[in-house]
Amino acid sequence: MSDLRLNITDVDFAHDDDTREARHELLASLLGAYADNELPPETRSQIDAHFTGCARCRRELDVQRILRDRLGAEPVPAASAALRERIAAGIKQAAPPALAPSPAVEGASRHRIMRAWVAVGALAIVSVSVLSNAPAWITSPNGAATANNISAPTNPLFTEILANYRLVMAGNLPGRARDLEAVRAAVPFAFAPLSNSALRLLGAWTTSISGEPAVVLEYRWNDRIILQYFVTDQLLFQSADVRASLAQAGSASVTNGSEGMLLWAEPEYGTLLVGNFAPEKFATLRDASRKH
Amino acid sequence: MPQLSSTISDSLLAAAEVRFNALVLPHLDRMLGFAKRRTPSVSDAEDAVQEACVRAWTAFGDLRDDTKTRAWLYQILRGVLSDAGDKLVRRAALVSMTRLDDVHEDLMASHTDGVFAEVTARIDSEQLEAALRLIPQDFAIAVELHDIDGFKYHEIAAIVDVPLGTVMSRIARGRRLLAATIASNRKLWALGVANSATRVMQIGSRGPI
Repeated sequence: MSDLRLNITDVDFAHDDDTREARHELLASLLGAYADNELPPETRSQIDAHFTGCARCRRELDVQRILRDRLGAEPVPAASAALRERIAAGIKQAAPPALAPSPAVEGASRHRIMRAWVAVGALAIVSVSVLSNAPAWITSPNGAATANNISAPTNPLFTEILANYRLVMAGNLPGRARDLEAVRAAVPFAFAPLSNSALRLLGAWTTSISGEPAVVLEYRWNDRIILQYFVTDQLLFQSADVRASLAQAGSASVTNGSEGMLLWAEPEYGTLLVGNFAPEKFATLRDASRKH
Repeated sequence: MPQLSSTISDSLLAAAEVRFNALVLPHLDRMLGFAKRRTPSVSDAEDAVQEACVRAWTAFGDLRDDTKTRAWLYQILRGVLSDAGDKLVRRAALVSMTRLDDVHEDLMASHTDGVFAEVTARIDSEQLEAALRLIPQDFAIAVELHDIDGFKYHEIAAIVDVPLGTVMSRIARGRRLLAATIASNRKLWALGVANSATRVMQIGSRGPI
């Protein structure tokens, strides 16, 4: 999206020597935005001053507001159950969205792809043996991950975050960081980015995971991109496996091919790092960031 | 190995579908309303919304910021309606902008407090939609996206792919044209003449409210 800031440099009421009619025409084009509170304060002030002596523009403003309010009262039709069913059926039949890892993630080399699948296969074998016994995500108390990782699809939280991560990485990244305060205001928890000189925060945006509000921070780390997800406590503790792992070890980790994920709990929220690094690397990064 | 690959793909797809439903389905009602105002029938509007949702699903990977979901959906829906062209899109015969501007000037000259508000409050949805169809579509869309669908100006600029200043002028001008259309047709509407807007404006009824 292009820069959409208002730029009304040609509106200079103080030095306007045009005809009265031309001035009204100029004002008329701004009165809608004035009524909708979409003008910068300085332009509003100039229009306010003009209203004092101009009944015609005040009437024009009345009409703008009357129509806006009337249109805003229009009833919204309800989409029928039949339409919702048709849409669901249409989606089932449609081509799926691009969910595969991006070329950057997957690597251009077929050998790398093969190695990844071999790794996933090995993990699956580990998973089968681990799932029959204890919780699968077990890390040591100091945060260093052990070898007890499993493939992501066995847990909904990891699966959905991995899918979201892949969607983000499959195309252009959202771009310049939004104001962190604006992102903070959009979620019900006060998250804090990792503080580490090796990390550079590039982007921040909101998303939803399992219908719950979540935040994504994008960092540059060792010339690669990693994402940090922040989720609500409700989502963090939803799964019995994750609860058990957090209680026992303080974190949970997943490796899926070249992708690694590390999840841990903060006092007000849960957070998860994901990227093309092993979970052990993420644990080291997290611990170093806590010392800063 | 192929079985594991399939399992992972299925799981990712299922997760994406959950997210898609959570993000998209809450907006179906308003999308339907937008489509209804520019198609000849409810079933045409439903077809357009369905097609927009299918396109959105196929392009779901393009959605990078969940906060922009609704504007993104409207962009797609506009594309569907545009592709349908004359087959689907309903427009009444437009009236002369110059004539509407004249009517608006008369309205401004004769306006007394409360009268136009009363007239506007009395017209029903069918009459309002008829009036919207009489003004040029670019203006009607900008007005509807803001006043009915609740988009901010910068979101409308993204949806219709025009600069913010253009959105600003289209909304202001669109409301002026709409006011003139309502003023011109209010007497017939008051008499209960259904869907009379096109006919009235074509015969050139003009005068202060």
